[in-house]
Amino acid sequence: MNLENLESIINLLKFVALSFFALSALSGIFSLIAKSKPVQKIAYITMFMAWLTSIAVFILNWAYTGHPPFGNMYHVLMTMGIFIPPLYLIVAKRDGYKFTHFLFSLVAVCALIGAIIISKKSSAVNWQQMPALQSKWFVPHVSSYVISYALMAVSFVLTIGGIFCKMMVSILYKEEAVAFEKTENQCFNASYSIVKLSYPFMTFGLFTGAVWADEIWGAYWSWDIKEVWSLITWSLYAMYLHMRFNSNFKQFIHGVQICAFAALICTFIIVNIMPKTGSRHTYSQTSSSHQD
Amino acid sequence: MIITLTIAIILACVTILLVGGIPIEGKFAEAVYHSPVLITLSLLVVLLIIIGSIVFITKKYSKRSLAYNISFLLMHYGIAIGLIGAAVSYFKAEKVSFAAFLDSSLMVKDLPPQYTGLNKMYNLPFFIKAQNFSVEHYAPKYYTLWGYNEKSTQFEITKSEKHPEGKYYIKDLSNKKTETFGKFKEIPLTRLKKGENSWKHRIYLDDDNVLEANNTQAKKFRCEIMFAPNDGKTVNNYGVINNLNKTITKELIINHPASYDGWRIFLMGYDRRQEYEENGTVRYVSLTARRDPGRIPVHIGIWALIVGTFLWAFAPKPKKKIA
Repeated sequence: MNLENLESIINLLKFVALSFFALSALSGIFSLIAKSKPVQKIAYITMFMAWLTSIAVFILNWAYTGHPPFGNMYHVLMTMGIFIPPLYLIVAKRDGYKFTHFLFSLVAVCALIGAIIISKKSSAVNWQQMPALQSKWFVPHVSSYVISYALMAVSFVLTIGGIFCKMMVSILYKEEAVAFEKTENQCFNASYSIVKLSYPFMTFGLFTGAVWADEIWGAYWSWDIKEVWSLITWSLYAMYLHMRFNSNFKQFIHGVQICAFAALICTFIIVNIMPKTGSRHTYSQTSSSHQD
Repeated sequence: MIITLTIAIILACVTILLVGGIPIEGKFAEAVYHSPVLITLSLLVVLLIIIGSIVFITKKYSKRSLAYNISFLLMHYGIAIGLIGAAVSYFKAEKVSFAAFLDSSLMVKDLPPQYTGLNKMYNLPFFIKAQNFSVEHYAPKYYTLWGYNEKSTQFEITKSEKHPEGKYYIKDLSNKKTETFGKFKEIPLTRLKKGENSWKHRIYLDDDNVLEANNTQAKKFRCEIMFAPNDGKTVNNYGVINNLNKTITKELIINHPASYDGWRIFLMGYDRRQEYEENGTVRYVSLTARRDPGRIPVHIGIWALIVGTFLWAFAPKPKKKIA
């Protein structure tokens, strides 16, 4: 198939996947409000369709670049669509938080919008895999981070939702606040469960990065700005998880989670776009620069 | 008490990481991360893990499931073992980066300062020689040195679907149309390549314009490394090989270091100046040699931590007994 035809198909499918996820998020919200089972079914079906489309985009991106498409932010954001539906299934089936459906779809929508904006730059799509990235660690390292970041984003939104409910509980009268109180607990518990699910993937991503660095450069840690911010994020989530064991820290726990998510955003985006950081992870920018 | 201490130490670690992680130029971060403060904090983490894990397992959390207790120990001791390994690496590891010249038939052991960038001679415990280097490039993006329509345009060399015999066409990336480059829309392969796997840095077009490659990206590169022991017999003092049977030759690719005598050799890069020359050849490769006694504990620690966190998150919860 001609590369230009392939690019057109990928461009079309990106929007199809985005539409399915958006429809899934909207029907998910509606089914929660209206408590309608048929609408809930639509939400699940559209999420499934979005998942299939995302897999198709992933395969076509692979065919287009000739390498596993994980090399830059465009690819990473596009890949989130593959991981999000199975992750929702784990959270819904194992932990029983079915109501988080629309949040998973919303995170996928945000990721796909980001990917579509970035893909306007042709260098993001026409990615060339540099020798340092041709490693067995490349796919597991990046995909574990994609999984972890997607889950942390859902967990962050749940915490914000929980804080909002907590505020409403303090404002409203007791009878009116019952529903918010219940939602608040659900949000915080689901948020913790999702962080717990995400943390091993973050740990895997961070430390297989170190193992990989040891194979390329002979040093598992080089205090690169991206490495440092990854460690800050990981440490803040470790702090959040430890705080749950002591009731004295419960008032700070959500603040720490918000800080941890801010550090995650800093690791994922800001460190890449800040000039003169001299990071070895320059290939994670939208346009790849050469680094052996 | 232990949780409070743990949180305090994590907070201290995060603070010091933040201080060094501020993206400013200079050697500020290096100074922060190699300061005694971080080393002391690491030591405190190890001590806390040892004391804390004993307290948790024996007293408070002894009623937890076996999977939980194992995961708890793996996670925390993984960090401790990894940090001990990192400390051994910090104090005992040896590392040198140097240029290995490809045009020499002699083996080297003593690396002069101009090879390493150090201020003194570095003596490797064995002889080494790099040879048979090869590099393959991706097709580069080209710019016109002076533009058509008063602007410089970016072009991409793409294999022509219409000419499977090997003609390439130029794709104009600025308006995403192909074959818009006047009479130069098709260029024979022989005018673009300077070797089997290398692309020319400059292409002189028939109308006196020039295409110049931007950011040539290597696809893969490799070389061979020959090792010989420093036994006084295999290689003489001038680097001439006396006994070829005692030498070992290994292939060296990025991500695939070669091991010899407790050292690992890494291919870091190569002489890229030749990419800008018409008939240039690669003169040297950049290598790093490292001997690290702390590497194995670090790897054990990392895998213990990873397995521990997965076990902690995915181990089935014990079923509650019905009263």
